[in-house]
Amino acid sequence: MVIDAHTHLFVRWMDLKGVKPSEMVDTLKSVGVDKAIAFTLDGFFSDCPGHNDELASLVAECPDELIAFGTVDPYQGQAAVKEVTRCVEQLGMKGMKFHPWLQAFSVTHATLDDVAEECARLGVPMVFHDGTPPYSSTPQVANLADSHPETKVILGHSGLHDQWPDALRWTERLSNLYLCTCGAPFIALQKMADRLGPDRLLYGSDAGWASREWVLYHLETIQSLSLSEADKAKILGGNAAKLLGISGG
Amino acid sequence: MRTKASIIDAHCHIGQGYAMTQTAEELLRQMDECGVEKAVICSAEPQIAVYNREGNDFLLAAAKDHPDRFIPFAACNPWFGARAVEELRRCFREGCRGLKLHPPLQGFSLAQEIVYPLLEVCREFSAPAYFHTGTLLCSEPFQLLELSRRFPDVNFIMGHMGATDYWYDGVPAAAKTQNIYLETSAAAVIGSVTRSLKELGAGRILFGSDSPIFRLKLELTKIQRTGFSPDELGAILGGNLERLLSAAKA
Repeated sequence: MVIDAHTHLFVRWMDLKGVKPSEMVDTLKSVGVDKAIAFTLDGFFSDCPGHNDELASLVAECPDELIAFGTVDPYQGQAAVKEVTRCVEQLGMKGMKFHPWLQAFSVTHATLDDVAEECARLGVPMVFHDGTPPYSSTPQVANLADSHPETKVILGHSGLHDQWPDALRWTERLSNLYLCTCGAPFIALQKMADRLGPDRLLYGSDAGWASREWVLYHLETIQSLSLSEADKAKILGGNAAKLLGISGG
Repeated sequence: MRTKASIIDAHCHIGQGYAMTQTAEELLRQMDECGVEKAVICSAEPQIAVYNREGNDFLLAAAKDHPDRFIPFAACNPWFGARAVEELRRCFREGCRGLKLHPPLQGFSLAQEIVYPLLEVCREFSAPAYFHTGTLLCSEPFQLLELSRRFPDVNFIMGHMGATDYWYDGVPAAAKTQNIYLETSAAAVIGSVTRSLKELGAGRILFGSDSPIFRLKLELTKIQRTGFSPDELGAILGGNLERLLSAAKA
């Protein structure tokens, strides 16, 4: 099973217009991707609960293929923690996604510690945009995983172009830290797979406009790595299925 | 329309470094596999940052061994001052066709005037200057715009178009001037970026792979899938760079 661990469903962001869930699923299926984890994008700017509801209804259009991760605004304090619980228990979401620089909070925000503990209690991972100082630098995000060893934290971009050495260092040390492959250079992914083994890498494309070419570029990146087919299968979906408790992987 | 055999990769590395490690033979093998005729070669990290002369000599020797395949771009760390200027002159005299600068590796900011003397040498030899861009504080697209305006008669290559975090600045910065060319390696050439590139015009885009950091074949396929016309693709895949280099004086 191939799972794209990093996609966005949204209505409008900057000058981008989101695509329909069925369009995204068709695009993904046409290149052999079975399922996708979907995040909001416009929900990083306002009304997280409202956008969580919206994302839940978008994902419901393709329930067999799409898996929703919600988001919350830590400035809302305990209401944010309760919203995490609602996302998972009532909306059926499987994880939470954060974009600290777009959402304008520091990863050291005290509420985020409570959110991390709640995610651990619910058994769902937290994904962060990373690789972008000063609010989303890779060590800032990794430090949250260091503070909360029971919480699974995914570096959404494996450090991007400048911080992938940080992503590698912290993931080597922390067993609760995972790497989503989208955005990191090819050579970085090869080094990560060589150093960490295949179990901590999750394939992702950042498809949000569901451009087939972009999804293909990311898929072919994983397929071009110098790894066994079994290891590639783990990165392409096996690891994500295990992390989310999806059977049939 | 250009034939597949005349593709030129505007940005590759050879040498022994941190992530930029590959031999000339490895690069040639990938070029052959992808139908890439020529490639701009740059040094690996230690030679870009510190051991400039050793790296430049290595590039010149590789280009001498494969004169029809490699186009060497010299690395000179501007902090070496007059020695860097002297080294760049030597490199241009001995066959380098452009300058490669990497602010985060070399420890300077595009806003610091220490880079001016090297750009004056580029002007003198009509050679383009390639800049890594995309890294916070020291190599941002609008920093390059300001620098390019100080040297209107030097051609600037904006490596990676500002990717990753400055992906939305690359095209707008280039659109404000005539002497910035956008090099595509590592950049997300999709959606709104492709649309704005088309508005800017294919004449300002240079295909590059940044091999071995990124995979030559995947970077090339990325550009071939953008939906540019065959003529535009021909320009992007080699014609534009050829034109830029033809102005250079040896």
